[in-house]
Amino acid sequence: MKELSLHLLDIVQNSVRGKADKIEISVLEKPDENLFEMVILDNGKGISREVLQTVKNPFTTSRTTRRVGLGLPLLDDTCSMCNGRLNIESSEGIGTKVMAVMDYDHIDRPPLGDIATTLMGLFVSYDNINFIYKHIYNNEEFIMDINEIRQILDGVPLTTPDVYKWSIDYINDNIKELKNNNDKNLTIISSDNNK
Amino acid sequence: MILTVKELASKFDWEIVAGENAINNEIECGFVGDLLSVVMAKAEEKCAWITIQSHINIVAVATLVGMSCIIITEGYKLDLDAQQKANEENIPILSSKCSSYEAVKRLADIGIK
Repeated sequence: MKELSLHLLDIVQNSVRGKADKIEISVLEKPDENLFEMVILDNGKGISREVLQTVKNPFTTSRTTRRVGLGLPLLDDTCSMCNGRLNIESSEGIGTKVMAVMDYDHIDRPPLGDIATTLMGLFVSYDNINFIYKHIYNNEEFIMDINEIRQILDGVPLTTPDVYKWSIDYINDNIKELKNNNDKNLTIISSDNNK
Repeated sequence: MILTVKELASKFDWEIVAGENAINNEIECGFVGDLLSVVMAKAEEKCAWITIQSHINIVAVATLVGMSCIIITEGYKLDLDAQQKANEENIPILSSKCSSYEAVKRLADIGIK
């Protein structure tokens, strides 16, 4: 997949199919440590120990329409290609945690892509699921709890054009802000050094 | 021009490294690409797929699309589990030392669309 947000969408669909009603999505960008991490944590039905061992194999799938499932295998490839790894932990009846780790600076690492539209696609499609999105850039953090936003909206659907546009901007602005704040701190440090 | 995988392999001296049972598959067209998600979406049935990827996921993609064969270029070696799976799934895999560009050129030269 050309963008990591597409991988993310794919993995979250697994959580949805696994009947999760709470899904935490985290994106960690730590250029200072050359680390990129994507974590999806759900409270779905989980994966049995036997299946967990073969889950990176494309011929393992929870689908019934076809025999091949490539969501996790493709993400696994992308991680290994970028000097990282894919970790999957799961307990039946409790949930699953998928952790994709990559070198931040790896030349083959796809860009994160349009994360705001990806998230909104999920929020809009699954209105019974409580999504929590966390984005970290070095030491700066942005957290969005979709249930809080739903409460404020008080029944107005996320698909209302103004609300939808506001939400996209809200996500994009906050992520941009993380990077700005980080850069501002860098400027302060470097000007301190000049004294 | 429609060629079988067997004819193609012998024509260019490309080694058949898996899926020998299905070497009489006919090749109707070609596709080249290394990003599996794109191949999955764009490649056509009964094609010969040229790629540098050599792990088990290529067998899954080929099965899904219904490809006639995979041609691994640049001399990359097929993973053992991929070889076993390709035998099970009857997906012929050829290995070639030439570049993907060169492989495409040869396929085009002999008239594969």
